[in-house]
Amino acid sequence: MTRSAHPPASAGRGVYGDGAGKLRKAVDDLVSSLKLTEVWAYLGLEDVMSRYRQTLLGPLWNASFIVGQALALSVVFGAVFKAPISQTMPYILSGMLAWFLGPAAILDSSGLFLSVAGTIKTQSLPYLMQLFRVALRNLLIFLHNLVALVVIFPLFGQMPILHWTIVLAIPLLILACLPYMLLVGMLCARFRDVQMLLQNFSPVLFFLTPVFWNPAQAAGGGGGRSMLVVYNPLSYMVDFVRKPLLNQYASTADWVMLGCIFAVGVVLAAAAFVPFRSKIPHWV
Amino acid sequence: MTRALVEAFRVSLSYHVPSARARSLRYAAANLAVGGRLMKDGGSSVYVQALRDLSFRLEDGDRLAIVGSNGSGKSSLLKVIAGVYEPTQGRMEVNGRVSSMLDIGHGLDMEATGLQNVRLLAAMRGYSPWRLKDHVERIVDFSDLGAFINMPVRTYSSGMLARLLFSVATAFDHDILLLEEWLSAGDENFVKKATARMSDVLGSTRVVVTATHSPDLVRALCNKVLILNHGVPEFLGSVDEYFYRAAVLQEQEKKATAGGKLSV
Repeated sequence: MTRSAHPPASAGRGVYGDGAGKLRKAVDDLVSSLKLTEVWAYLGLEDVMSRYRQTLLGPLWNASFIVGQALALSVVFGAVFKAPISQTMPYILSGMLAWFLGPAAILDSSGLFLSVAGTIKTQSLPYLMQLFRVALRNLLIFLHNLVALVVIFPLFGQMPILHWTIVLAIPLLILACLPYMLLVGMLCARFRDVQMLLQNFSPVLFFLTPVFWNPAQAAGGGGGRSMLVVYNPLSYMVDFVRKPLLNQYASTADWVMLGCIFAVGVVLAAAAFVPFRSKIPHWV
Repeated sequence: MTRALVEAFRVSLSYHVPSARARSLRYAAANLAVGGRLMKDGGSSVYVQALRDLSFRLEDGDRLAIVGSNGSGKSSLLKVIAGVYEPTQGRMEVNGRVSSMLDIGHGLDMEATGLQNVRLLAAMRGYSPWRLKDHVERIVDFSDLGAFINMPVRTYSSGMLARLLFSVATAFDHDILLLEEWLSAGDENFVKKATARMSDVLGSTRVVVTATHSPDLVRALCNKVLILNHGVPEFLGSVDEYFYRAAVLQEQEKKATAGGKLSV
């Protein structure tokens, strides 16, 4: 097949599909998505701008919601664990920010393909472009939340000093989430009730992950709860960004774990994307 | 032989349209447990053979009309050429930039202004809005929306909206144009302008493929006709042959009815 040399990726992409062809086309999808960086960057930016158009505060509403929730949890669990709020609030707020950047982004990517069904059904654009668009949107929203953290921390006697590794931690966490977001996006396009399942289970996962409770406090309570920390990949994701937000350094084990999570994700996502990529326009 | 811009080699397209039941996870799990027998029962999932063994070749200057009743595969074929659907068998070769004017209104953000929507729609066609300053200016000029271009699209009348969409849809260069319906928009003045623009666009396009029901459009625009019947090519030939065939068929039908009457 000959491809057009022109910028838009609107050249036909029909070639007889044996196994090898499918892998090549999946790789092509990735390459042309990267070539269209300006396009998905624009669309991701527009997603955030459109929230500003609809409301005065735009994504800052999100941030204030997170602050409110963190405050409520700090008051309640500060009392339960008999810890001063000046200690719980920074811990919980940073944990929630990390939660929304990583695990929540995965659980929330049900609309990855469904929400752009019209584009998918009329234009020959690579699918992974939609993934990058959503990832950029999540990053921009996270940066809004970060503003909230910087404003709120001093009120609780914590200086808003971030460890320099945050510059690496944020993009790496987003990268590690990408394959899982793709997986969720495809599953939700194929099976409509996965969306419901995720909506209902994401609060459960939120409670099971040490976002607002400290594993150090839980460890005393018995082996069951520390298992939640050790065998829960989401807890590594949260820790990976929370530590630099609290001016700590993520341990080597955290880095290795995140690498493993990413590697497993890539294998799973490839197992779904390579064989079923061409079915996506029929699903949405 | 000149290079083909669009060439189909025995293209077939089939897909499952899962019913609501088949879309559910519970059903899929049950299905897995019984070894996929539920799916084969029928009723749960409709298997569509949209195109079957289709071959054709379009060169510079060709204007192909795809004719057929609803559900005959016209849209599916346009989508295969557009690169939206991948053929399940065979091969579709497309050499050149494709502009698909299918569902041109998709992607509008009603809260955003006309200008913001121009950029948004360009991005959804795969163009970087940051590199399109000239295009955007031309689109805005052509739409004649004046100060309204900086107003949210939700304040537009349907005529204004149509003008905006038409201006965007016809603004980009391409070699191959896919047209689901003849585009026109707006009040009397704009219709004239739009018709002129459409002729311009069609004149400068190397290959046009259109799905149509209108014999007038076939006569005015096309040089080749493909008749699809349940995804199977029934006829492929020149426009003259197409109308000759239609006339012959009509004649036969007349004779048949006349004969039927006589025998009664």
